[in-house]
Amino acid sequence: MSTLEIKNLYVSVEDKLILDGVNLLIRGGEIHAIMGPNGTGKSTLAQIIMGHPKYKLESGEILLDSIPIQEMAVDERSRAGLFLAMQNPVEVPGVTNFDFVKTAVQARQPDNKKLRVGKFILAFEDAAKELKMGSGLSHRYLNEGFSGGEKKRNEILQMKLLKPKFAVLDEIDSGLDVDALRIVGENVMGMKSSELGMLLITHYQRLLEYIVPDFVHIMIRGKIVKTGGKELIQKIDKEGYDWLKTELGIDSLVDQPKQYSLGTCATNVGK
Amino acid sequence: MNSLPFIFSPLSNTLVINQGVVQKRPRGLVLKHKSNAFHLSFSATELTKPMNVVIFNQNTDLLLDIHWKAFSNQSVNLFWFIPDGVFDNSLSLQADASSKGRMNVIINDQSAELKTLLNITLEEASSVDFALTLIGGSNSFVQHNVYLNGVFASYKGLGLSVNHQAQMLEVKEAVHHQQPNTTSMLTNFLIANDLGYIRYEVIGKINKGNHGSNCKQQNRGVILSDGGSVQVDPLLLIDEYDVEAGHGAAIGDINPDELYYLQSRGLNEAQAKRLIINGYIKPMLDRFEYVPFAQYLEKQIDQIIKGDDLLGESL
Ligand SMILES: Nc1ncnc2c1ncn2[C@@H]1O[C@H](COP(=O)(O)OP(=O)(O)OP(=O)(O)O)[C@@H](O)[C@H]1O
Ligand SMILES: [Mg+2]
Repeated sequence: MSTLEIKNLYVSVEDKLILDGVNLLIRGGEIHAIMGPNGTGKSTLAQIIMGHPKYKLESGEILLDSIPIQEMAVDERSRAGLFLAMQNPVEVPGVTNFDFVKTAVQARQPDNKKLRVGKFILAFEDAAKELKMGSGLSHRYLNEGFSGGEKKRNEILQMKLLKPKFAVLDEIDSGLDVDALRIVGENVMGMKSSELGMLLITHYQRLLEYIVPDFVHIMIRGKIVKTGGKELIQKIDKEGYDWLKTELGIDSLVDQPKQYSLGTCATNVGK
Repeated sequence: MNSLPFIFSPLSNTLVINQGVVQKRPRGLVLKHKSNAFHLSFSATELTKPMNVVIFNQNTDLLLDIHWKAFSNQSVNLFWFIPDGVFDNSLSLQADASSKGRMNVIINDQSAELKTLLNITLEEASSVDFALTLIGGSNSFVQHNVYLNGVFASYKGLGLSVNHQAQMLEVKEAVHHQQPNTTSMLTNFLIANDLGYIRYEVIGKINKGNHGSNCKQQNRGVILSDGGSVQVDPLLLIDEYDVEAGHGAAIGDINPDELYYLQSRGLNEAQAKRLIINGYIKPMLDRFEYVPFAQYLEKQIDQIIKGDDLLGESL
């Protein structure tokens, strides 16, 4: 069974400490959800796992199957089985969706094996159909001019074809209408297997009705402050995060993140 | 270069000028030739197949005139291989009233110094879809003038310039809207690697009284190395209210967000850059129905964007 483990993770962006000691263990087959107020560091966690060059790992470890990956390049992490469906998928003009996904799938073929293009085309078309994406989308430029919902579906399309071991889905539900939410939810659930661990970042209960998490974590100000089961979701949906702040003795959820002096414990710089 | 780098099918409609001498001439082509000046003309009743013109082993300056007569509909591909030397060339295209056509020009420049004067004239209701690819050239200067001389004339121009090492290219492209209801749309893609330098001045000019005209330009440049440089100076000179005009430019390194996104799906840096640059080149490659040439062009451009060692071995 695969594992993805986050150990004592401190991460800063532009000299501002965002993640303040995050610990998390995800095993293959498990679905974890992270919820939390805006700006608490959920996407930061997602991006540092993938290796975004703007985020700086001050200390801590990210282990994939017990192997530290923080020194690995972004593309190596991907080929090692990590996938991030981004909150804001990037538009790449001039590169068609199809060519891009084909190159990505090709990049994970073993050296001695060539991609069978015919087979790939069929797989691509099937995946697009299952996500109810218009057929024209494959020959359009990557995410350029895609609607919010189309971009999100396109992330899931890539996930289906790249078959990761661990997938982080960052607000895959935002911008989706009711039908699209169901389609995306069903497609993600369709991929559920003991070979796939998932981390869902979301604000709403809706998505979690389709994708039922085994664990729910609440992140506030760069820390996971509570972990529980799906009962947490409903509570947050009804009551927000205020009860937590009372329970945990946090006065305000929106105050300034504390300044962090760099260079004291900075050792690993993920690149 | 003693022979052509790729082979034309014997059946293709190809004019070959080797060392300033006509070596192959398709049947039915109207060609006048006087020392180093060549004049081709096409009328509505003759030749509608795409026509290839190949110029290589050039040993003197060369002048090429192409004339699309009224109501003709022609497609011309010009492959111009410039050998080492110093040259002052001229190419002109005259599109008579109601003619329409498509022209692809590739200047593959290995000279020490090259000047190219390019004049395109459009008469009433004519329409020209023109593409110019400039590859290499130690020191190359192109003066590219487009004259929209008749009402409802319409010009579409696509440019691709690729250079590397310490090559220098300067292009002055100017479109003159001299009649009402004329249209021009220019798109340029510029790629510099190593110490390559590319500068484009792109001028759209609408004189007073030429209402209903539309003049647009879009320039994109990408620099693949620290020492490379791409500069675009767009200029719109408009002396009339009732017109549409606009320009956009995006020049820079490859967008790091785009790179990250592609890499996050498992493409290494070289593959990711390659895919992004292909996006610039593809519109040009797609214009060639003639596959061996598209392949040749792709290989040439590949060599350049590989650079000295920038993109690594894996390309
Ligand atoms: N690239 C960046 N440059 C500067 N600041 C950043 C960057 N990325 C994140 N931050 C800051 O880090 C903090 C955490 O942001 P993050 O995107 O991780 O929040 P989030 O929990 O995902 O919020 P949301 O629910 O709104 O998506 C915010 O204050 C944000 O402004
Ligand atoms: Mg976020």
